[in-house]
Amino acid sequence: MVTITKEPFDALLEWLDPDREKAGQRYEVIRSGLIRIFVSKGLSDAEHYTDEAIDRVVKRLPEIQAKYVGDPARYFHGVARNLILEASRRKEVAMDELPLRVSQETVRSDTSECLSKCLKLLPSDKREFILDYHLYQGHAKVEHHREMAVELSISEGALRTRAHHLRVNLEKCVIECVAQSRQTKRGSNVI
Amino acid sequence: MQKEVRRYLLGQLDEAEQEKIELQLLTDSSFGDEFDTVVDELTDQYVRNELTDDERKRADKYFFNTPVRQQKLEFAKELLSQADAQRGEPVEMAAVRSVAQPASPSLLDQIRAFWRRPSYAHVGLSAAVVLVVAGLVFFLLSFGNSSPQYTAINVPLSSSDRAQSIAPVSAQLAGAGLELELPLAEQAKAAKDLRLKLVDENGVERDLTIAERTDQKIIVRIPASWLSRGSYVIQLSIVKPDGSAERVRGSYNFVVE
Repeated sequence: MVTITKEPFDALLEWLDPDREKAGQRYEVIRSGLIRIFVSKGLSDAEHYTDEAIDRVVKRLPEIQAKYVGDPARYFHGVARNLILEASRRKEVAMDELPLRVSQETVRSDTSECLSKCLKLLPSDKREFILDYHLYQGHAKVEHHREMAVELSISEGALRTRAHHLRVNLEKCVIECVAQSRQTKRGSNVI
Repeated sequence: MQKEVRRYLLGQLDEAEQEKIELQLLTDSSFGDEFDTVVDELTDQYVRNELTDDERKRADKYFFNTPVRQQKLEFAKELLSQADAQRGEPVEMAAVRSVAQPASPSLLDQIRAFWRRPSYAHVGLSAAVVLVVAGLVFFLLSFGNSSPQYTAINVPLSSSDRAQSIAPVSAQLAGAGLELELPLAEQAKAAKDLRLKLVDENGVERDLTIAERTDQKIIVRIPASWLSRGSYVIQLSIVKPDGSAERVRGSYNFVVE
C-alpha cells in the first residue's frame, strides 16, 4: 500500500484543478477510472496498481507540473499504460483462461446464501424490482424493461441506472457477507 | 458508446479506440456507471448463454480473467437464478409436443375436459388412444403425409407484473415451424378482432395470422423460414371498430434453440 503524505497530495490536487472541491472530484474520477482500466486489462490487484500509478505521478509532479501541457488525466493514462506493459512482461496478466478456483461449490453456496440474506435486507419493493429487472433475455428482456419503465413512469435509461445502483449495493453486501462467512469458517477450523 | 465499451471489454478494439475509452473513464464521472452497466450486462449474457461462440471465448480470455470479474460472475449466476426462481414458474422446456395440422380445437377441448374428470375409463381409453396413435403413425409413415408438421408449444402471457411474470418457453425448431397456443388475456377474450405481431431480437416485426381461436385461446402457426435461433416476442392488440389497435398488456415470449 502506497502512502502519499499531505504536501505532495495537495500539490497533486492543485495540479488537477485550482478549485479544491473540483480537484477532489477529478481525483476520484481518475482513481475509479484507473481501477476499471486495470481490471479490464486483467490485473488481479487493480487497487494496488492504481495506488502505484498515483504514486508515480505524485513523484514526478515537481518536474512535470510547470511544463506539462494538456489534461492531467492523459498523463495518468500514460503511466497506467506503462504499468500494464510492465505487468504483462512480468506475466502477471492472466491472458489465457480462467484460473482454477479452489472450490466452485463452496463459492456458489456462500454466494447463494449471502445473496438470499442481502435480498432480505432490502425493502420489499426494491427486492421485487431488482429480481424483476433481471428476468428474461434477448428481446424479451428489452420489452420487459420497456414495460417496467412505463409502469414506473420513468425513462428506460433511468430504469437501467436504478437497477445498476441497486445491483452495485447488493453485490457489495454479498461480497462482504461472503468474506465474513469465510472468515468465520476459517476461525472455526482453528483449534 | 455501449457497443464500444462492450468491444473494449471483449478485447476487440485497436489501440486508439482503447485509448478513447480509457481517457473517458479518467475524465467523465458519469461514464463510469455506464461502463459498469455494460460489465453487468455482458456478465448476465454470459450466464444466460446469449453470447456467440466467439464472444464467449473472448469473454473467457479478456473479461473473466481477474478475481473481481469472477466474483461478479458468481454473483450474476446467483442473482439470475434467484430471479428465475422467484418468478413462481419454472423455466418451461417441457411444453413441447409434436402435432400434425389440422387439429380440431374443439376436440382438444373435449379431450382435456374428459381427462379432468376422474374415471376408470381413462385406463381403457389410454390403451385405445395408444392403439389409434400407433395406427395413425403407421398410416402416415406408410402412405406419406403432405400436411406440414409443426412443433406445438404453449406460450403463457407474461406481464411485467412480478406476480404474473413467466419465463420464456423454449422450443427446438423442427419440421414446418412452430404452432403456438396462446391463452387470451381477460380484456382480449371479448374482442372481435385481434392483431398479433411477432418481433425478433433485432426488432424485425411480422404480422401473424390467427389459425384458430376459441373463447380462451388463439393458435398461430409460424413457418420455420421466419425463425432462427434466438428469442421472440409476440404482441397482442385489440382492433377497435375505428381500425385503431390497442395493445394488450404483457407479451408472449419464447426462445428458439
